[in-house]
Amino acid sequence: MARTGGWLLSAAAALLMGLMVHQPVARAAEADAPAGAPADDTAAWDAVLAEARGQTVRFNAWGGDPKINTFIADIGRQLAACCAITLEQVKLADTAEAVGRIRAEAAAGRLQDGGSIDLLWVNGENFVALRQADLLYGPFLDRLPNARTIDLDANPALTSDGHIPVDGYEVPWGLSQFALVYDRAVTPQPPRGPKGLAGWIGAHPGRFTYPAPPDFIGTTFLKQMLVMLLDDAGRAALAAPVDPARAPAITAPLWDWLDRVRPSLWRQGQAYPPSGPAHEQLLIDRAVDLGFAFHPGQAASAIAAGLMADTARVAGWSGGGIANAHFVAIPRNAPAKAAAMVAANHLISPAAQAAKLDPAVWGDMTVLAADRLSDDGRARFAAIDLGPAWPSDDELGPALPEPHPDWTGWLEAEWARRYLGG
Amino acid sequence: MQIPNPAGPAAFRPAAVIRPSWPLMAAPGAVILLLAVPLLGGLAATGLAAADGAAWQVLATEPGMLHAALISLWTALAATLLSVLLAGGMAAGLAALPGFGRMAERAALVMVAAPHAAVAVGLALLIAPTGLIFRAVSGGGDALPPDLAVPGDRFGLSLIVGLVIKETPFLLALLLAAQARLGAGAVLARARCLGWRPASAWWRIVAPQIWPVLRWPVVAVLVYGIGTVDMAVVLGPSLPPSFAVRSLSLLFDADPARAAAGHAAALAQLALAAVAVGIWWLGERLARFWLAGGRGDHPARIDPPLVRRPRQPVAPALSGLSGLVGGLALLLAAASLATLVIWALAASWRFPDLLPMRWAPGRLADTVALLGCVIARTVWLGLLPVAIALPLAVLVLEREALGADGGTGAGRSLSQAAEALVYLPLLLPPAAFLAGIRALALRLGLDGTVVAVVWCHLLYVFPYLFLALRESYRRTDPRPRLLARSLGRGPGGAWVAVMLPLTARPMAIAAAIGFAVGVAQYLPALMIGGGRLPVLATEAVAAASGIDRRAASTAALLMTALPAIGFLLASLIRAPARAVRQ
Repeated sequence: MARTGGWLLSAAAALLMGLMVHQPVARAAEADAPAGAPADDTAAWDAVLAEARGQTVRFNAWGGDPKINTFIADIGRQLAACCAITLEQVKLADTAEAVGRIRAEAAAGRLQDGGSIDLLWVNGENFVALRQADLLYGPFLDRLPNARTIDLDANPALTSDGHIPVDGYEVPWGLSQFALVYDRAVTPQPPRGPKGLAGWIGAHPGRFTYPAPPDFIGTTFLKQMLVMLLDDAGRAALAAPVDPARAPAITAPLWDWLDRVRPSLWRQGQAYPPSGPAHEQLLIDRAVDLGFAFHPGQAASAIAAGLMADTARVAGWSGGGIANAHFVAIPRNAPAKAAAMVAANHLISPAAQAAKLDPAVWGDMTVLAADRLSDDGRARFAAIDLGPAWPSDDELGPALPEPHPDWTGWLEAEWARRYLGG
Repeated sequence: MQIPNPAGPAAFRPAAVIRPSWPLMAAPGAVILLLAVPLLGGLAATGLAAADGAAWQVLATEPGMLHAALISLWTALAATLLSVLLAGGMAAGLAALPGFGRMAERAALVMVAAPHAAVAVGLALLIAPTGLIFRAVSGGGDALPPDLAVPGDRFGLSLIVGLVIKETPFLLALLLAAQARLGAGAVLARARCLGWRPASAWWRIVAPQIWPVLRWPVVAVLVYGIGTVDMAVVLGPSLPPSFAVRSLSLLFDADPARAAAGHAAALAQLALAAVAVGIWWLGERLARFWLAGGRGDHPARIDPPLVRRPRQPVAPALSGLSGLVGGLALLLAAASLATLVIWALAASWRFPDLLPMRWAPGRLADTVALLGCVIARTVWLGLLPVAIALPLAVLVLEREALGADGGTGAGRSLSQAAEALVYLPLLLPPAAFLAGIRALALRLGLDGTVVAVVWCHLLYVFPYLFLALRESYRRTDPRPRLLARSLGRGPGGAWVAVMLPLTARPMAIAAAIGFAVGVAQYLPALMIGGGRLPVLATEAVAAASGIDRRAASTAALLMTALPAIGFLLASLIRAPARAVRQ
């Protein structure tokens, strides 16, 4: 060991050098007058604030996008300053991990307390799994002062998640709609449906792929293609739980379509990017020509970050894209429930929602209703420059409902059976 | 007839005169408790969670598992074989060219200290279609990156390259140390006099003699290849991924039935490792047979094969080639680390620019600031196991040095059990016991606690630290201490006055090695940390599979820098040999 000194030094030295405000607000404008808040709410909320002081919120949130992580870090700084709350983001690769952990904790007898998660970014089948196992705390939406600026009647996606009622067990904090990202200079007329896309893929071999399910963007792509390939009867079947006997026949058009385009996919369909962000990286690297967006601000924020050319744009699917709301929920065994509620309330504050809409920050649609905002709040939203890359409502198209959450697991398993075997 | 000598070598040890104190008596037991409880408890808990027919049924019907198992076997075996051949070729070449020996050894040791995850991230960025290599050959202009599946090719070649550039230096360092002890230079000189070519002589005469040094490390390398998750996630194929990666995603599944199948898969990794070792063992027998010139016996001694010159020599060109490729592997590893530096400092670096258009060292500072807690946690989770392992290792070695078995065989066998146990974590796929430890930690409410993660880190930190310290401790001259004792110092006083200065430097280096091992750990933080204790390794791997190359590079670079700082500090400690002599 004695002669290691020399290399240690050289090693160390070497290494050291070495308003949509358009959409929901427009819809909200048609809605009824805002509901009033109960009078004794202020005192109750003050008690929550007092209890929350000094608590640490372990916010389990998908951590694949640096701009979202930065946004959450900003929220953390604001919570520390206003409410003496420490917000720690636990970056998840897949929200199902957190569901598994909450289940395992419950199985180990940690039902009411002693959990490892205080606040969870969740929607769809993961919410259904937790809610049906009665593992969520609530209802608590009505207890949040800022919830009054959300018009629950404006959009059914705010009150129903994964085809079951939310019932105040989740706080909506953003709206998503599945769309395409492209570079106008490279692809002036992007294909906007399965038929056009198949033709485009055939004409541009190696220039299209999708993230491997169960990545949620990859799974959403399967759902989007399926919805567009089906007639009304087929779509009605997607709204119901999976009937294993009929599912193969219902989904046959999807598998035919995927089999047909597979040889002309990126890497001949022998490999798929493992995650949505990895897929986005391919688009940024110009290894593929079409990307996916869940937020209409996706192209605008990629331009703002210097990742894509100024000609990057977002296009909706013809007939509309699968849309949903995303939520935060509090597990029943969360140790810091009060601070989690304060954090959730902060996430739906006009300031946080306006920042989230800004493509330079995130570019996600707000859940707040314009007519329920104060003048100050409205001014915050009005000040945001959405930029030319933000699609108009017409370009984005209407919002399509998610298939029944049963289909998520079924489609993922069937995709794995067909393509994961190698 | 031999007369038994009651005053054998043991009588010269001070055992008879020094009564061991209780910490010395307790040390091996403490090691056994510290290592055996989580290891065996973890294995048992994994087995218990998998002891359900349904779990195995789910595993059997899971698509692509067999393919994944074959991928794991193929990548682990191919990478191990290549690493052994390349390290051997380099060692053979260096035995013939002694001038380069020290340089190569230093380069090899730098790579040994670099964490697996960091090397994987660097290599992935280097060989990707948008990496430095393809930028260099693209011709610039409007060129598009090639449509190539690297990293992540379906045959696992990128993963094999990653494993090879990390393991070749490790094996090379061991080979160089062993052949220096053997005096390989003199052996080769004698062989040359008898008409051998140096390469032939090295492979047929030197290699069989130093092979025993390599046997267990090679098994550890092989098992690492089967069980690795960090390297496989970053470099390995995705359709399907390796068996270890699939096991982990099953284990993390929200569906309890699939999570149980994940425990079954973790256990199945043991069988997979056993198969790999079995195949390796068979191959080793064949190679020995061939190296012995077609005879079944093992050329343990130098002379018979020297005299009986084989008709067919090992092609010197082949040995030279493997030496050269080994050198290239070292270069590739260095280039991977350099890539990390560029990405960490780049503002925007679009294909096919050879260098970033804009640099942003300020953003590196921002990323470091954002990672502040993670860096601090990585340091703590690296230091705490060292703080436990170092005193414990010293006590075990001290007990051995004093022959302090309390005069009973039981004491000695306890020490031997402790030593045998030290190797065990290195010879098992980690998920096999970590899955069970995770289940136990969940039940005890210990998941996501520093205690649980530090304990798991100890399973790796203690062995490496102990093995690093053992050699120098055993080589320490016992006489100065006897002198100090005879001058009236107590056992503790004699240790502080004599052993501490003599072993301060080896202890510091062993501590630095232990720290490097702790910093490199990925699975304990991922599995036992419950997401609440992210460390640089988990951040680097997560960011590498996403969009944030700067965050991935910065985290990987930091986790390479931390051990380097440790070694730098360790190297500042000088052995005050003269002071002791006085």
